[in-house]
Amino acid sequence: MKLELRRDLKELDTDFDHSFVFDAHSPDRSTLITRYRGTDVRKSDAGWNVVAWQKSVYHFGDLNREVPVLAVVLLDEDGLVRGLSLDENCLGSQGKRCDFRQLQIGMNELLKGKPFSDFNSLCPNAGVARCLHLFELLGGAAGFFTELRQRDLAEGIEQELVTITPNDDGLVAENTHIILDQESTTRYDLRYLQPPKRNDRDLTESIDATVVVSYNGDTAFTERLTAEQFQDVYAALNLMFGKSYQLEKKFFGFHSRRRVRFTNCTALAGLFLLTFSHESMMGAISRAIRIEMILHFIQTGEGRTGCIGFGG
Amino acid sequence: MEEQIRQILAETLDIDPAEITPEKRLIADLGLTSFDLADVVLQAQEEFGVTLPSSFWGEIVTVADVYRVVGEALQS
Repeated sequence: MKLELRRDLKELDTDFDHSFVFDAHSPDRSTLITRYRGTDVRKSDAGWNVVAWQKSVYHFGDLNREVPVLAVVLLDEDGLVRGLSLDENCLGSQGKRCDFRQLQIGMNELLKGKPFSDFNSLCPNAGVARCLHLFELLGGAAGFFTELRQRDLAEGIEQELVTITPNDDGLVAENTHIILDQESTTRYDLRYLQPPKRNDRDLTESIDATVVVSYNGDTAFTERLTAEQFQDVYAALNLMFGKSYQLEKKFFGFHSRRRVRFTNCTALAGLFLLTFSHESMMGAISRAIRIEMILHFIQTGEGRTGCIGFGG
Repeated sequence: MEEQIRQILAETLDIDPAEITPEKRLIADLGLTSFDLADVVLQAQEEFGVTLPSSFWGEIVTVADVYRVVGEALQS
């Protein structure tokens, strides 16, 4: 299953058509998780228009969930933020507690009149943004905008699609990333050597698996994932995706150490955790509760400040 | 070694190295995500030619902890 990636948005009207984000669905429900994101930057008469979007689609048995977020950031000629708006169709994972009007107000207070390229220092963590999705989205958009300016480009688009599909041996994940005219695909073939063990909160507390990571069709490295407690599972996943991220950075010409946030790699550890747990989730209510436990860790664990939906 | 680690952290976070002091907590104060932490660890491993033990994740909370774990790996 593939969502259609928008390779060239120039044919759209000057009013950016947001519907492709909110209307994109995953018709093939054998794909457990789909995550679609991107950033479009264009010079305008008044400065720059930056549109950033992100949508996750989950199919956990009878529980289907879509989390779309789209932000439009208007910049002046010098790259200072003139204003930011969040599409009225934005949805968060916590329902009405994800108050996007409040988030829009807060972001404007934080960013208006400031250089968009300084987003990392203006908003150093998701707790300040009060929304993990917005933090990822705007961090990625600011990073891509900065990259374009450094390359002296007046416009550009980057898009990324991740799909995660369980199979009899484990799972397959594919991550296709298109930045300007370059495209890369990273594939993760995970095979359980032992079935993962989950604790009473359905968090994976033990794993023994091999992962073959292929980059543009060639095997890049093989990782043995072994861990005997939840924290180490999360750590092992982050380290594996960190290695992939290094490959991507080199391919796309990001040679500095500077954090490049326009990537799904930062979210993959959490998405894999959800996938590891899904098999033991029985019943829609049970699934919803267990998914919430995992999201709660991703949002608030390890000393993180919770988002608006989690009381932050 | 500490200066190099501070440089890695500063460049990754795009902040002034002077802001990185030993008592600062990586996630709560400096705003690293778990993924950023993995990226920093991979860079440190490459910079110093060491492999950090898998138990490091639970041991690293502050910048000083990073100095200590890398220092121990260099000695062993």
